[in-house]
Amino acid sequence: MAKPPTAAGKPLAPAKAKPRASTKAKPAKPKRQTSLLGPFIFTTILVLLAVTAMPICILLIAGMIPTITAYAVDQTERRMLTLTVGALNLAGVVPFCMQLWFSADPMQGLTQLITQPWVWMVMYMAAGIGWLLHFGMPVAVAIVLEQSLDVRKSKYVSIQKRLKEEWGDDVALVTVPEE
Amino acid sequence: MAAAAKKLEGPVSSVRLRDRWEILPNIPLADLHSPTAQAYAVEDHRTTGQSYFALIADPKYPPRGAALNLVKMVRLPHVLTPVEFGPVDWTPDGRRCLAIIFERPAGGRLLASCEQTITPWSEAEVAERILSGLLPGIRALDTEGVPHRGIRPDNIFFRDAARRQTTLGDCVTQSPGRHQPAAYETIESAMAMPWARSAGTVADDLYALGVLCLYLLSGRPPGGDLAEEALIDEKIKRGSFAVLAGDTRLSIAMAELCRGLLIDDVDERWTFKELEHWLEGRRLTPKPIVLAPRATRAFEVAGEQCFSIRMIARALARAAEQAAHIVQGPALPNWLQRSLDDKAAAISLTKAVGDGDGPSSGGAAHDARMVARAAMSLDPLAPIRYRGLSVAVDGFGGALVTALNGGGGSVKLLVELLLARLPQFWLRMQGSLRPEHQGLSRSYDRLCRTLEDRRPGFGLERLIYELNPALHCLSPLVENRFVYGLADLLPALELAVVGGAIENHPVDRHIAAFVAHSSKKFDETVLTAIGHIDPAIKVAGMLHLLGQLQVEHGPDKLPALTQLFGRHAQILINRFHNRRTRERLGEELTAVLRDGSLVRLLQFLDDSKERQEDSTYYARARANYAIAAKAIERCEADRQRIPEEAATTASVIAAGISMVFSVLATVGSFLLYGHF
Repeated sequence: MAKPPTAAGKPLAPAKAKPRASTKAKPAKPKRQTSLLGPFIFTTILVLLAVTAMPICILLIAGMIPTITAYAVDQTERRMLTLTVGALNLAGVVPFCMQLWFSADPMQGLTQLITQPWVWMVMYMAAGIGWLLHFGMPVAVAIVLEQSLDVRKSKYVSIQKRLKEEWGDDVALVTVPEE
Repeated sequence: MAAAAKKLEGPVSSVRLRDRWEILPNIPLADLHSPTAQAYAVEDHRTTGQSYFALIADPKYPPRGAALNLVKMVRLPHVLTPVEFGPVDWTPDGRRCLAIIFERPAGGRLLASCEQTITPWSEAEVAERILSGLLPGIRALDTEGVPHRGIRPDNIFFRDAARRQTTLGDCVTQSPGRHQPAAYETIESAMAMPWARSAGTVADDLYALGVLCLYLLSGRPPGGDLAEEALIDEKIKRGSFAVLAGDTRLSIAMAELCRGLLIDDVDERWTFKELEHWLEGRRLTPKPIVLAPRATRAFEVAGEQCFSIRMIARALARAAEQAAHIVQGPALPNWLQRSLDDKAAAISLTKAVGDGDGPSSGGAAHDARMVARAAMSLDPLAPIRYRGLSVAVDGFGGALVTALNGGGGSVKLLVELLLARLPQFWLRMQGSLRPEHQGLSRSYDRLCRTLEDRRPGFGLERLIYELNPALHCLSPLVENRFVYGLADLLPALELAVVGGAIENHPVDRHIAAFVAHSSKKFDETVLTAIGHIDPAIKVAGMLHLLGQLQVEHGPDKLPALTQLFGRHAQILINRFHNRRTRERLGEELTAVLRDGSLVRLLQFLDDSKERQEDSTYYARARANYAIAAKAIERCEADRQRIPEEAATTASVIAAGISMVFSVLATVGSFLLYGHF
C-alpha cells in the first residue's frame, strides 16, 4: 500500500524508526570524572598537618564530618552542596583551630575544646546553616524571578488592552508574525 | 390603458406638460388612437390657432427614441409630427407615462381598419390624394434616415376637414412595423415576429405604399382571407403582386405602379425616381416579376413539399427536431445540386452546418443552433429563426422588451440566440459586408460580452437598455415613475422611498444597468462594488452611484433617500477600525443626514483619506498587538524554566555566601587569636 504523503508531499517515515530516533535523542548520562588530584592534595595537607600540628588535624577531621558527609552525598558535577556546606563548616571550625594554633599547649587546648558541647554545636550548626542555605536559596531565587516575569508580562498585557480599547477586539484576530 | 378607460368614469384632473399643454384625460379621442397609445384632447396655453392632441404611450412599449427626437426636431409637414413630448403624471392610471403632443389632423383617419371593404377609389384620387400627398413625407423621412414603417390605411390622416390632404400617421410610439399586417410588409420583414421587425429602409415604406394603393383601388383588403403565414407562403411562391392583387382588374398604369412598388427583389423595386416619372405621366417599361428558381422535384420537410430554397429554409425553421436530421444528412445538399442546380447553396449549407460548435456536442440547443445556421445559409435575407423565434438582425430590442412584458417570445431563447452568436453569423451570410453591418457585428460582439458579465449594471438588464435606447427604467422600484432620463431617477427614487416602496436598497440590477447605459462618464468599479458580497462595499457602491447622479443632475436635497442610506450608515461606519473615529462619525451622522445630501453623506462616510489613514494605523496596531502577544508567550515559556534556572543560580549564590562567611571567619579568627 502506498504511504500517505506528508504536507510537503513526501511519504511519512516508517513507524518503526520512531523508537530508535527517540533513543538517539535521549541525552547520554554524563559519566562522573573521577579525579585523584583532590583527594591527593587533601591527604597531603592532612599528613603534613598531622606531622606538624596533630591537635589541629584531629579537630579539623572531627569538626568537618558534615562536610565529608556532604561530599559523599553530593553527586553533582560542580559539587555546589559540598562547597556551600564545606565553606560554612570551615567558618565554624577555623576559630577553634586558630585558638589551638596560637595556644601554648595545643594538646591540652584540644582536650578542653572537645569536652565542651557548645564547640561541637558551633562547628556543626555552621555546617547545618550551609545545608539550609543550599536547599533554601532556590525557593528565594524562584520567587524573585517570578516577580520580575510578572512585571514584564503585565507591561505587554496593558499594551494589548490599550490596543483593544482603541481598535476593538478584531485587532487580536491576526497571525503572529514571524520574527 | 384599459384601466385608464375604467378610471375615466370619475372626475379626473387635467395633466400638464411643460407648463404649456393641458392634456384632458376626460376627453379621449378614439379616432386618433394608435394601437399602443391612447389619444386625448389637449389645451394649448399659448394661442397659436393650432389644435393639438396627445398620445399617451403604453409604457410596455418603448417609443422609437431616435425617430421621436429627430422628427420633433425637423418638423416634417407631411408626417404627424411630435411638437413636444415628455413624461407626465398620468392620473387615470396613477403612474407616469410618456405623453407626445401632435398637431391635430382636422380630417381624421383615412380608414378605421385595414380589414374593412370600401368603395374603390379612382386612379386619379389615388394618385392625387395618396401618392402626391404621402410621397413628400416618405421622402423627408428618408432624408432624415428614419423610415416610417407604419404605412397602412388606419395610420393615414387628413390634415384638412375636407379630407383632401393626406399625412402619414404616428411612427414614433411603436417599434418599426410593429402593427403592420403581413400584407403591408415585404416577405423578409413579414417573416419576422411583428415586435422584432427590422427598422427597414425607404424601400419597405414604398412597398407598403404600393399595398395601400392596391387596397384603395380594389376596395378589398390585399391578400383576401389568407392568414398571415399562408399569405407569406403565397408571396414566396407567386410573388407579392400576384398574391395581393389577386383578381383585381387594374388599368395598365396602375398595374405598372403597383407591380413596380411590390417587386420582391429590393434592388428591382421602384424608387422615388420611378414614382416621380410615373406621376409625371411618363410610362416605364414594366419590369417582369422574377420569382425564385423552382425545382422540378419537391423536397419534403416534415410533410411539407418545398420547391424553392426559401420555402425549404422556412420549413426547416418550422420543423424543429426533424430539421436537424435533414440538414446533417446528404439528401438536401444533393437536392440543391441536382434539382436546383445550385452548387453554391449546397456548399454554403454544408459550411453552415459545420460552423460553430462541433456536431459531437449534441443536445437540443446544439441542433437548434445548427438548424438556424442552415436556414440562414439557405435564405440569408430572412430573419434569424431559432426555436420558434423569428427576429430581424436589428429587431432584438423590440423582441426583448416584448418577451419581458410577456407579449410573446422567450427571454431565455433570445439570450441563447445571442450567446450562440447567430446575429454575427447572419451578418456573415450577407456576402459583402455593408458598413452598417460591420458596425452591427461589432455591436453584437460587445453585447455578448455584456450579457456574459454577471455584475450589476451588465447582463440581460444592460442588454435591454442598450438595444432600446428610448426605454424607461424598468426597475420595479421606479417603473411607475417612468424614469426616461438620468435626471428623473433620483426624484423618482426619493418619491418611492417616501411612498414606502423602497425599504432597503435603492439600487437594483435594472437601475444599475439604466445608469450605466445612460451615463457617459461612468466608473465601472462602482458596479463591481454594488455586486460585492460584503454589505458595506455594496452600500458604498450604491451611495457612490447615486451620489454621482446627484452631482451631475441634482436635486440638491434628497431627505428621504439620505435617511434610507442613514439606516445603512452603521455598516459603513463599522468599516473604520478605530473606535474613537466610529464614535465621532456616529455622533456627527445625525447632522449630516439632516442636510439631505447624498454627496455630503458619501464624503462623510467614505472619505478615502481618512479610511486610508485608519487602515494604515490599524495595520500598525495589529502588528503591535501581535508583537505583544509574542512577548507574552515568551514570558510564559520563561516561567516554565524558572525552577531549573533558580536551582542553578541559587546553588552558586549559596556557595558564594558560604565562602564569604568562611573567609570572614578565617580572617576574624586570625585577628582575634593572633598576638599582633
